[in-house]
Amino acid sequence: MFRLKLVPAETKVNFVVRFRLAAILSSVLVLASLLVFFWQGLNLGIDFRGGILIETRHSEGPADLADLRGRLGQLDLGDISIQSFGAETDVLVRIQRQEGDEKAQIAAIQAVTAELGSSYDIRRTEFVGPTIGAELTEKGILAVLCALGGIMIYIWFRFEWQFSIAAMVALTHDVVTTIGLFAVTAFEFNLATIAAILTIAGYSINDTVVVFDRVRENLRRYKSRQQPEILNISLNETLSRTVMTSVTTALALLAIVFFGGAVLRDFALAMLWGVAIGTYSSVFIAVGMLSWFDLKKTADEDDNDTPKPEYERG
Amino acid sequence: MQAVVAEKMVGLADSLRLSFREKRLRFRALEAGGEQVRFGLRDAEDLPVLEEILAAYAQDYDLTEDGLNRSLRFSEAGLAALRTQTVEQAIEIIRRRLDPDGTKEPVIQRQGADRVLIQLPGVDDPERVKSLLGQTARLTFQLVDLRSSAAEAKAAGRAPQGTQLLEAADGSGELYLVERRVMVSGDMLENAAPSFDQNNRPAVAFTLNAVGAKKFAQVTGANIGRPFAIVLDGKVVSAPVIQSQIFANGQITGNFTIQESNDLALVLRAGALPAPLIVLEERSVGPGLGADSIAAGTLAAIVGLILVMAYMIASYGLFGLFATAALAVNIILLLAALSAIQATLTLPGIAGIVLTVGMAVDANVLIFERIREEFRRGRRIQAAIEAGYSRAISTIIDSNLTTLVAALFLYVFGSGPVRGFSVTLALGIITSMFTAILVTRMIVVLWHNASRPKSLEL
Repeated sequence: MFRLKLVPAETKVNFVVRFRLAAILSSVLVLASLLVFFWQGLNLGIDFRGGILIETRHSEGPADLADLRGRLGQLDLGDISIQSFGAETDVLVRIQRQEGDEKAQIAAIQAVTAELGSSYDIRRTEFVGPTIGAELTEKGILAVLCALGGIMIYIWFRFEWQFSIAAMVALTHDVVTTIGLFAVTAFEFNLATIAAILTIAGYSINDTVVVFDRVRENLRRYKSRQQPEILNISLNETLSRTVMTSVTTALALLAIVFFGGAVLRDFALAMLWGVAIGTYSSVFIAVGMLSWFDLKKTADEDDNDTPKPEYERG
Repeated sequence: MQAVVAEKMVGLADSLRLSFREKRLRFRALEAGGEQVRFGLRDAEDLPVLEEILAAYAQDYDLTEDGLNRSLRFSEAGLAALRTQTVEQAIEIIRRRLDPDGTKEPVIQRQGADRVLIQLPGVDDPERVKSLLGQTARLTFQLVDLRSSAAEAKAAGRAPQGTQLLEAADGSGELYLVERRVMVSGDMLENAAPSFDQNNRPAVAFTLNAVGAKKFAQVTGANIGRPFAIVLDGKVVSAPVIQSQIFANGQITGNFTIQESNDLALVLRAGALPAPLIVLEERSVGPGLGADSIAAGTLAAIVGLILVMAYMIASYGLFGLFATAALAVNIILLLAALSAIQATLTLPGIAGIVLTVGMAVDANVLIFERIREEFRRGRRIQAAIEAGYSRAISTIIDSNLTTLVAALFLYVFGSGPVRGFSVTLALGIITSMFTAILVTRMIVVLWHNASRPKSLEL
């Protein structure tokens, strides 16, 4: 019977010799991400900057962006960005935060909707006031930090401290490079992006834990073998699963990219990147970090109070 | 909140003045200013009496002493209690304004210390919602002062003692000089309904309760021929002349449209908000986009589901089919759980479902890979299946719990759409653990017992 197998039944890839190369590559990626982030910054959406967003659709054929720019530019609302969104009838209007209080923002929305007239159908308006904007930024940063911390503590409880540190380095790597991607591409960074980053963190840690689980098991099983060899065996044994899960998740995300509509596209693209970087980092960064520690010693010490796996008991 | 505190301080000053007089305490300069009430004692002899009086206020207020002068302001606890009370009152009134019949199922929740989150599905006109929420709807009837005129007061720069200058509500800039004393206020209303005046223009008819009617009859009876102002949120709606004594029933006229008279009647019935509301954040989705994006999201979910199922069957054959059956159960459970908790299905929520579809099969992948491995190591089929499930479970729990940790933080720190996403993600993790572990296992065992396979087609 036919079986689709992206990974052969038994692989003997030597991952460990590539750890050094991966470490160099990832260091460059992380440094570049930080550089771009500090030098160029993120294209912050209205969630964090405060401001107004209006999505509109022209009911009589393609929208005339130049005409809109002229007409809305005259309203004297400061920085206005007008771009087409998804289909050519659809337009996204972004307006900077207005001077004054919340009433000024609402007045601006009304001015724009009045200027657009009846041939433009208002599909969505979002307005984030200055107070909320600052608060969302704070909460967003807090959410990412707390999620990382919570995950780290969980791994520490379930594994040894070395695993916890390795997982944390891998996760930070994923988060930093994802933020770097947003800085480079100038994709809008909004609340949904924070959700994407945290989901990437969740996905990546999921992957990492599966590999760690196997490493822990094999440390107990192959007592006579060297640590690098054990890491290699563990990675090869889980390789088929790693690829399977990455592909299924990627398939679901590709469906969103192509069919999910414009609002979800950026989110799904960020997640796709996350699946790629998360899979890479669990193999090369998380396990790569593990290779720096002497795990066998801790595993031996632990042996007295952990029951042996059943196949060793006979 | 400041306005509420200032108002409470005026009330506090009044009640202190009463208690002081009752106990014959000699005081001076008792006044409410901003967020505190200040007063002084004339004689130190009165200190024990004062202490006795103030004991009742100790819980909600902080006392500052300076010689014989005292000032009271809200303590942290008092302020927190006031905030809670104010927000809860506001929520009740918002509900009555937005959903007078109790059929629209709006979500109105307190968020943080002094915020309210309102979600209204299926609203055609978001501007109207804002105008309903935008007015405090504090209604008062005050006599127009005739001893002096609005123009004189404006020229003098201030209104004479006991009066105040108010603008007209229609934006004409016309000014009225009215007495500060309130004849009747909105909390004495029993009912309000849209109606028409004698010229057939939209108006609002009202009925006062017993207390209000008595007071109103008394004042109107004594002031026939004088105009009185109908004041809404500090602005004069109209100032009709009292033609005859008015009892419980009256009418508010002004330059209303039908919609405006309907809305005014509605907000008057619902009662005044304890404090003005400020819109901090607003997101609205038009019906067109809502339908489009739900359709797109559903299409994406179905395509994703088919792709993942096809890939699973291509990779694991019969076992892949088992996994897709479990996946179908998973989706049904997830949707059931979402509707059980009345979650609003948002776009990020759909993304969460699609992502769950991708990740849900992970548990099955772990189990199947493990079974394959055990089988290759030379175990019999049944033993391999047994071992595959039992060994994979700890891995599955570890990896899913960590993702659940991330979802938890998304929920705690996220707001709006991000929360919706975290809820679907978390529910998806829980249902997928259940279906991938228990449902597939049941199917696999049934299959094994029925067909007794000799070799493992995995």
